[in-house]
Amino acid sequence: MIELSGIEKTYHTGGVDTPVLHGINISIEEGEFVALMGPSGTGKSTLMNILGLLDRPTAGVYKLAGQDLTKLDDNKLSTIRNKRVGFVFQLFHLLPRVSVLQNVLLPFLYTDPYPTDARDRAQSLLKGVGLQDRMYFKPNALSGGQQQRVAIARALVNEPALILADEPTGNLDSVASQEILEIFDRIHAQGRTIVMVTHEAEIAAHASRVITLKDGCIASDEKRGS
Amino acid sequence: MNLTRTIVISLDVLLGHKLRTLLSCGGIAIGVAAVVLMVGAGQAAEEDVVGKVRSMGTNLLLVQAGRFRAFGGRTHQVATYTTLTPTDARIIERKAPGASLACGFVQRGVMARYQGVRTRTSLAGADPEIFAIRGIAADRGKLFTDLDEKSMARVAVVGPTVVTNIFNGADPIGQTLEINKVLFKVIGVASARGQDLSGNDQDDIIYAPLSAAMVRVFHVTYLQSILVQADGPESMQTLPDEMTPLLRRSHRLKPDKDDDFTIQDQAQIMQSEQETSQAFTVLIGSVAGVSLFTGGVGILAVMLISIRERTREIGLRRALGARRRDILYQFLLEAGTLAGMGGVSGIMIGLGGNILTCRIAGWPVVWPWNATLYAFGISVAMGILFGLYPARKAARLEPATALHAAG
Ligand SMILES: Nc1ncnc2c1ncn2[C@@H]1O[C@H](COP(=O)(O)OP(=O)(O)OP(=O)(O)O)[C@@H](O)[C@H]1O
Ligand SMILES: [Mg+2]
Repeated sequence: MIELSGIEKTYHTGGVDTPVLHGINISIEEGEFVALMGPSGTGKSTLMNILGLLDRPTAGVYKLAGQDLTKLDDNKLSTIRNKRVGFVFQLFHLLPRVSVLQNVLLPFLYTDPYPTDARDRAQSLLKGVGLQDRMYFKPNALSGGQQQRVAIARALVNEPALILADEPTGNLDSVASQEILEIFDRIHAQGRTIVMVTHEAEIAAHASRVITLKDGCIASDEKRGS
Repeated sequence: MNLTRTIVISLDVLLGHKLRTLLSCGGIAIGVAAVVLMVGAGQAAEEDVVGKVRSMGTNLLLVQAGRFRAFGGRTHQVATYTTLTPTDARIIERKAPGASLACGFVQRGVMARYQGVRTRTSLAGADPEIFAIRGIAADRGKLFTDLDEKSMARVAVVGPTVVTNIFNGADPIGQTLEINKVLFKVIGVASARGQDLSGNDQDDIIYAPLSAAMVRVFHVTYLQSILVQADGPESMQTLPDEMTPLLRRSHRLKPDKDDDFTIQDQAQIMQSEQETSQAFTVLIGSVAGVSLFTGGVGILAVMLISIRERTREIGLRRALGARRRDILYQFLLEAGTLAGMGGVSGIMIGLGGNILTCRIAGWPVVWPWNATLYAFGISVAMGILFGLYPARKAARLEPATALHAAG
């Protein structure tokens, strides 16, 4: 499903070049749950940005479902993000001024045509993460764990094949983290592809495959039979 | 992207930032209110002039004795001439094809005395046609007639102000009034005419038959002016050329002599006044327009702050599938909505103020619809124009950079 070959990334800021990724080659099959690990600053988030089409690699080829994405224009990339990628962030990234339900519906703002069952889908997803009675709350009336569950519902609402989560439990306590991981397990069981960045081995234990980055290169890549 | 959904989201955001929204709307609102108010006032003043011109009589030409010279935007008589007579009025009426009425006219300040109290007012000696020309009716009593004119009757029709000033509001009909020591009998009260263009009270006047006023009060044989009513708007153009030879012959002027009279078109006299107030409208309208521009700068500032604050929101929207142009439209729409809300409140303030101004100034209330629409359109355009730069800035943000921005 995902094929990265020779991906390199160098940041140019203020006339300074920062090489971050050095020729990453990864192939991820549909339905895999990949944990991305590695020390801080090795380029995990950078790689996630590239996987999520939020940033372009400096060199290399990225193929998603057989389609080469490196040459697509911004509009096409936006459409792919909208329909085929779901994001879960460490900082939740919910809009504070609109309701939980509106937050979950946000991706549909950019979906053409607007699905007629959008509301039903959002509501059943919120129910799935146990927030059916919080739908009309503003996000800041919810706990961190609840906010992250809203974000997961938002990531799933357009039924993307790929879920990208960059330290989704990084801001949560262990109880809330556990709840979030259970949800990820469920999503995985439904056959979606997940790539999740984490620093913790227990969290990585939920994954079917662990890729470790070090200094912008792949240091290890282990699949687990499960 | 669905427009209504975008509007809903924008409104949500704008209503979330009440104070800031209010401030930036305020700038535009003041600008729009200023335009509406100023142009409204200007147009009302113009309308007022038009109304006053109309009250002087339609299709009216004024033959004045003597030469007039324009000076400081107004005309002034160069010297006193004694050649214009009631006979000239009859000649014009009879021989100028385009003239339907001609009315000899003399008006001067007089001292009126009633029950021992002396009051300054003015006496207009005129043919009875004056009432038709000026559209005056008798509020009480009656107007004088040709018979009174022929018999040099000492009868007077007084203006409403005279009733107040001299008769203390009591019914003057049948009372005897002393005008410059000559006794007149009041037979009627003229309908009110209000102020003229210079703000003079046109109701502080006593009308008397021309013959009586000339012979008994003013002791003159000549007229000050003849009011000539043309039989239609077309005759207004030809009438001066018809009257000039008639008057020159009547005054026995040799061909090398200048005219000893001046023919003026009432409308023309007033045109300069009207042009002045039109220029005034344009001027204050533009000044007010500048404040609209200032309001636009306010929107620019607010949008820039808003975008800086919402960088991560922009990043999030891009991650969720917003194209650059979706972000552009969103912020343009926000700027336009801000300006539009400012515009609507400005219009309401401006129209309210306009009613007040017109009431106070005693002008007819004129709704400056054009200015209102323009001001609203311009304010929305300002919003979009000044929103364009911030919106483009927002749209150009790289998704990854925006998403991970601090704040
Ligand atoms: N926009 C940028 N401009 C310049 N350098 C950047 C930029 N973003 C990241 N970097 C640099 O790239 C390197 C990798 O950053 P990245 O965020 O991918 O690391 P990470 O593996 O996610 O670390 P962590 O575990 O702390 O989140 C870091 O040295 C960082 O300073
Ligand atoms: Mg990171």
